[in-house]
Amino acid sequence: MAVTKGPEFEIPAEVGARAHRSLTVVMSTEAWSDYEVPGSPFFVLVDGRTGRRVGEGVANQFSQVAELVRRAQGDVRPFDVGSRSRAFAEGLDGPARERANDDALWPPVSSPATRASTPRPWPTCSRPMHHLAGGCGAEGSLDGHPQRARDLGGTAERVRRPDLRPTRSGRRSLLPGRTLRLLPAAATVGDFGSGAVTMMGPSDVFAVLFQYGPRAWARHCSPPGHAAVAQPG
Amino acid sequence: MPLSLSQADFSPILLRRGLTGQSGTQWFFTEAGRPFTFYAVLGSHARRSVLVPKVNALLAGISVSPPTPSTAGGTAPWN
Repeated sequence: MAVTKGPEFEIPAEVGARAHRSLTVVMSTEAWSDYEVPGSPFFVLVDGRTGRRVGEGVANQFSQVAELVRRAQGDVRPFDVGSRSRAFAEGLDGPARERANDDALWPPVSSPATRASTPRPWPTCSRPMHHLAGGCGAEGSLDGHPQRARDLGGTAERVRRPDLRPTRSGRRSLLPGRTLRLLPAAATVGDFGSGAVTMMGPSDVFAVLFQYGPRAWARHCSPPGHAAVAQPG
Repeated sequence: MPLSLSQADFSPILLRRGLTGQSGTQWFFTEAGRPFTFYAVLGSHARRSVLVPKVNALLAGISVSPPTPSTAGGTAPWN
């Protein structure tokens, strides 16, 4: 079976012209999203005994596939299941796996003593992500996980997340002066668009304005060795 | 806050979640004394000449008020 993206991204006639008669071809962007395929050609190594994914990645050449298999095998050898992450041990996938990983990587750090009581000015840090280094984090890794945002002192600006699901009446246009409607988002839609960007068509844009809490800002926008906020809060 | 982004600010390698054909950009900044990140994704990098103006239109329509106790790092009940 071959799975291409849907007709909104691929030309059905082109796909049909390349499909072999003995091969089932499915055109589904949702399938790419559900299986978290970031690009193609995408390779997945499945353990035949357990039916679990043990390795995956984009592989353009067979040598790259062989390398992915070698790495997957190397990952398995030194560890037993008990030493793996909860997400792996419990077979979590998709948003559930992301949440589990976030919970493990970002334990609660806040306490009443560190929470803000009054607003403080913040140092200026206005640089695009790809110019950031060291203290500013190249990935902008506070990707809006609710638990993480709460732990880091996220604020009420994101109390309602936009409903990013396209509607039959047409997608929302972002025009100057137009008030954007804020609606509750599905639980599987992250603040940085995980679960939403896969719904985008080629004419869509997705944007998020995310306010950081004091701890996060100090961590991400301080020059190495310097605290952006002397007293978080 | 970036007032206007150029097409060169968007790149496929800046995506939080890399999907073929898309591109993104992310900026860190303070506005009205509040720390933000702005992240935007284009549905098609090939159509960035059409889509980037939409992002800029959105940016032009955003105004940020100074922090209040409810927006300055207190407990966020919504989370």
